[in-house]
Amino acid sequence: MHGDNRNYHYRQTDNTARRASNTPQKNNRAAQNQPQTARQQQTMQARRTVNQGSGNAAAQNRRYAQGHRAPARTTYSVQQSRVAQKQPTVNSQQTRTNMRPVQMQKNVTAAPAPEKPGKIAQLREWLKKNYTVNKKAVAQRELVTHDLVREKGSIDYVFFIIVLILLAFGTIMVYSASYAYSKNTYGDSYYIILRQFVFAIGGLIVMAGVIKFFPPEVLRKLSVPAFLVFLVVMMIVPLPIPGLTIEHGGARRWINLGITEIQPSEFMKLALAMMLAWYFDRFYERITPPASKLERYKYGVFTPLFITGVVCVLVLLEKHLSGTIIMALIGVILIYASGAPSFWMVPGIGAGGAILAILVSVLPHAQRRFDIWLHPENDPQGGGYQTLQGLYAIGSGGFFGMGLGNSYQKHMYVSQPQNDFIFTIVCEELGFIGAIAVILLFTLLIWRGIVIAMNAPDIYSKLLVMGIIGKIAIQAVLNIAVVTNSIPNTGISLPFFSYGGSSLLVLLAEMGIVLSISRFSKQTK
Amino acid sequence: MPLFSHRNQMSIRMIAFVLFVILCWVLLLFRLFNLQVVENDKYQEIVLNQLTREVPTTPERGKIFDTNMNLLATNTTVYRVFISPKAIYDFEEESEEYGSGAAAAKIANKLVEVLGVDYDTVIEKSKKLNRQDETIKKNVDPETAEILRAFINENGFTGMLNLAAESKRYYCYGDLACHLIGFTNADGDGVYGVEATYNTYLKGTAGKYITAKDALQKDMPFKYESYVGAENGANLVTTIDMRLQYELENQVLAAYESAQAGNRVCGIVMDVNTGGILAASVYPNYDCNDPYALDEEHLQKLADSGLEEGSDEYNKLRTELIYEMWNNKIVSEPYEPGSTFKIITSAIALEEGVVTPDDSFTCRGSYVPKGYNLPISCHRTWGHGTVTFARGLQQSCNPLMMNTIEKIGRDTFYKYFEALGYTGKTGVDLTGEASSISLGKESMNVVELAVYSFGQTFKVTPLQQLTAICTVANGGYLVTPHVLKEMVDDDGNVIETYETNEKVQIFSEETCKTVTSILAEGVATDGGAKNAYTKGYSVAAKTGTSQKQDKWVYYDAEGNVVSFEDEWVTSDRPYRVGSTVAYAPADDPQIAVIIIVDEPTSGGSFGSIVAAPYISNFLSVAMPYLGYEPQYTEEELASIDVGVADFTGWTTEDATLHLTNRKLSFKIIGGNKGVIVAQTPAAGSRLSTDNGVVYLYTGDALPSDTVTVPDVVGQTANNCNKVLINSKLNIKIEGATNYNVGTGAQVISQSPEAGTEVAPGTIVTVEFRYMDGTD
Repeated sequence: MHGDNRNYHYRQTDNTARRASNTPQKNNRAAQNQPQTARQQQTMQARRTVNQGSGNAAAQNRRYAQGHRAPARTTYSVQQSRVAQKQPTVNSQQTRTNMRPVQMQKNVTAAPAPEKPGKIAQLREWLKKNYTVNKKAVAQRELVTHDLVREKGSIDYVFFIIVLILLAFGTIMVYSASYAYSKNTYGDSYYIILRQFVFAIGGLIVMAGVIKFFPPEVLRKLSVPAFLVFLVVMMIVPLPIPGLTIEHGGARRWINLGITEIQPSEFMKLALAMMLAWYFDRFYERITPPASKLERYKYGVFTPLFITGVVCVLVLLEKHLSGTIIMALIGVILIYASGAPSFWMVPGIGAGGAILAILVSVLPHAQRRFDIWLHPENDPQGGGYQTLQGLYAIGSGGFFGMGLGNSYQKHMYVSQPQNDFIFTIVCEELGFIGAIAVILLFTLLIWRGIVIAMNAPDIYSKLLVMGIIGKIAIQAVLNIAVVTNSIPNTGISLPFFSYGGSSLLVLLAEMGIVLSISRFSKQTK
Repeated sequence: MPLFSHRNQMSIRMIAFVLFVILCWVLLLFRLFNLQVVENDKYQEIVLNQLTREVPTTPERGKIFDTNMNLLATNTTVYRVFISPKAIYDFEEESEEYGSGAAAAKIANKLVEVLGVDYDTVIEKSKKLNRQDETIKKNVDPETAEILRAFINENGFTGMLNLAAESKRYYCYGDLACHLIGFTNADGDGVYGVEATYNTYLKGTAGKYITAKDALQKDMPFKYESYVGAENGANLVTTIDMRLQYELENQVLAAYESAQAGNRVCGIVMDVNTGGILAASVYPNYDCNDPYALDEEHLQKLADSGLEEGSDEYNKLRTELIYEMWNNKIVSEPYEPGSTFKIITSAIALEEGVVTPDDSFTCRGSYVPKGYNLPISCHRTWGHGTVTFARGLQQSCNPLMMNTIEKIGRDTFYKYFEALGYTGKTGVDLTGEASSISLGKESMNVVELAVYSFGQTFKVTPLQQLTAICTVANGGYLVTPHVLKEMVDDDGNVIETYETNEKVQIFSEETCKTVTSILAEGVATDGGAKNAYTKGYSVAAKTGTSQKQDKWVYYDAEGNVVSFEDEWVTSDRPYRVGSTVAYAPADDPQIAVIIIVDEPTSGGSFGSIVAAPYISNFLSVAMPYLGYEPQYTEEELASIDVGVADFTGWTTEDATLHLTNRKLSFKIIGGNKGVIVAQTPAAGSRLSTDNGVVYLYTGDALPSDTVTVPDVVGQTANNCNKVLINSKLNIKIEGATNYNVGTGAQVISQSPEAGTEVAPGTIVTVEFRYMDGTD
């Protein structure tokens, strides 16, 4: 059904029609398959054409030819609600979406060069033919399969509630975990929680804003510029520019905005997900069958890996290993989810492991980190301190925990307990039950996020949601793996729980994106 | 064809991702389960260990009271003053006000001023920069500590000059009853006396204060604290009677000074019915608050040794002397009881019915025990002549006793000897009790048996001797001497009472009454123990003078040591131990007293002279204190002391009437009519109705003309009376107030001294003592 992904506003034309069409749907499957084979042939033909002609327009045309889009038959409509009427943006959106075929048409007319009339004639003929065929196919599919007409609906309340629960839970835990640290460091037990609370409220406002003003189409347009902007910012960050870049603990990861310091890599994670989603959406036909294996690898694996690699290198320049790992994993997950060939991943991960092994044996720093991972008890006051204290906190929690607020380990034993190691305090205070609750909440969030992704209207939306949910899943899994000393220690924060204003803002903005996309899900009503 | 249709592939991969994440979760949950549930105990222990600091809280050591709940030993807070050289250095480095060494100098100056320590010592200590804790002075009292605290706060020297509070045992009366109470060591454990015996009870149970500290060693909120309360030690209520103890110590000291005892003087007062030790004293003694300080006598010994101060020998001697000072003579040093043992011999004989008080015996100055070929002499070498058994006992006749013990027989004697506890220990609750040294029944042959009869050649502890005497005093029951009366908690509830053993009756009450009446009669009349006579009270007493078979010395005829030769070859007499036991009142004995003067070296060496007078002195204070009204004989009533009123401003008529009513003689000087302006002796003095004269002055007459106090020391009582009355002086008799029952009473001291010019009528205090005692 992905062929119709570009069409945002569907509406069920008629309930009776849908019901009526339900029965013949099965019968028409076979009929549907018939033009599919035909489309394949057409695609091959089109590809040849594209290779000869100027790229972009040709690619667009090819898409039309494939029946990906059926502008003429698409009903762009707005749900007849009061809100919709009041909102001029809805109209503009409508306009925007309407513009596409027009633009295409323009491109199509502008693209062919007059020098090669034979080819132009050929193309015209091809276009005419395909357009017709396409129209027919789409019309047929509209009748047969697309009994749903989509329109902007309500957000996914299940996801929204999970987000709110996690946010509330996380904020409470930040309060509990930071209580002693805050008192010791700032002389005020409420210093950290107040800031976190303000950011949580701010984050919710941002989330609402994103839901309201950033529908997927807008996001799509922002993807490439945002990525490029942050790419530039990421290039600036490692440079020692007084007053702009900030160094903490020997690493340059922060930019001073005057009001607050931000960590551009945090934004870059989102920008990368947007960029890759845009990319896969843009070159979707080239990475999925019937595109050739070579093409699929070229467009589906190497190019996105290159994009991801560039980002990873930039993050690595910030001496931000965990950030690099997360970037790389976002890239890998999106490549995987996009439907690109994935058999390379087995040797690829094997090679990554080998490189890691070599790094460990060569770099003394990595070696040390590895040793601490295996034997934290050998250096209880030094490198193993935080790991051990985290384990003590988790282990001493028991099945039911010490009770909320009753952690011993948060009293400066676990250093900065409100940050990366906040899960240890959750475990200590709420026990194994609390740990299960946290994991369950994350699982529900991920599951619901994936459901939204699966129901998302187009590839861009699907992959963007996937990227965001993937990022959260990676961070949560890695964070809990780190604090339980299941993997070597690296600074990964736990979404919704770890203290950090700007990252919470980004996180809630991301949740806003997911929720915004959820409004355009395929709906069964 | 792909496995799935391609349009579903994305969804499938997404679901695969979710499943992968769930797989990760499951693995992590296993890990968490292992950490949190399986290894929970281990981690909880680790956390508690690194979290909690256990501060032991010391319980307060139980207080010690006398029998009337007067506090004898308690605890006080003292402070240890110490400086932290490192903190001072750091302070000086940082401070702008104080340069290098300036703060140290200021502190040192203050310490010199307040604590009286040496300035250079403090400065030297302050230069040990790596040290955190250099003690300047210990046992600083709270007032001084307060001054220093103010100084610290004033100058901001917190952390540099420090005060650490410590609990210290405090003995309210210093050396009072030191040998009974004992003292504690630096660890707070009792070392001697009841402090040691009941140490476990006194100590209490240590508590602990568990505080939770965060990783920065700061206190956590209070909810993490827990306190296991220390259980304070039990308070001891002893049988010691502070008042009696005080008086006994006075008398022991007086005896010591009078006799210049070479090996200390000791005294015990016991409740004859319970065995409770009411008082016990050894002199020289020590201060419980400072037990390591040698007293003057021992310091003198140390100085006389000629050893170089600080040398090993010097320190060894010093330690020996300290131990000697601590040595509790009453339980640790067996002595030969001498004639006081005759009470026991007599009681056994009477109990067994081998003699009656009226049996007569002729003493010829020595006695040859049956089966022995040499005579054993009596202390009265010319013999006591023919005496009744009762008088023989009163006169302490040795041959009589040897004869009596022969009648008793070895086996019977030994049965009693053993039953009375002479062969073992008394079981008193004091540390360092020694066993008696005596022969076993089988090795006791004729001569040994003979000399045992008058308490020679075997050694018992003073307490053992007094315990045996108590048996006779209380109607025949053996008691266990003890110091503990009961233990009470801080609220005064009795925790434990001293359990006395089941009483074993050894002598019949009749026997005891007989012995007591014989002894009391001897005291009241011309017995050997008449120096123990206590005016107004019937006292049973027996003196004793034993010879130390293992230590010889040369005494002259008057009992003064003239040679300290230790070699028995060149000396001809052994050292003596003079002692007296007494119990009173004779009709219903309540307390028993023993005073032992070990190695008297001056003023006579006999128990009747060195010990008996002090028993009398003691009883004359103790008996009224214990609530016994003096029962004067007619003779005594005739010469009863009457208080002299303040007659100033009285008319002569009034004074005459007043004095006549009180049977006091008087002389009025300056005219019989008029108002009295002066008097001698002063108002409040006590005069005997027997021979007291009050001199009253009227008109212009003043006691201007004086008389010279004559020398009466050494004179007999009658002479002394005559001389003083002739000198227009009043007489006040101390010591042997029964001076007229025998002929041996002499004045041994007088006050004022001979030759002093005093007004007529001034009271001259004379002390009588029977110096004819030979045993």
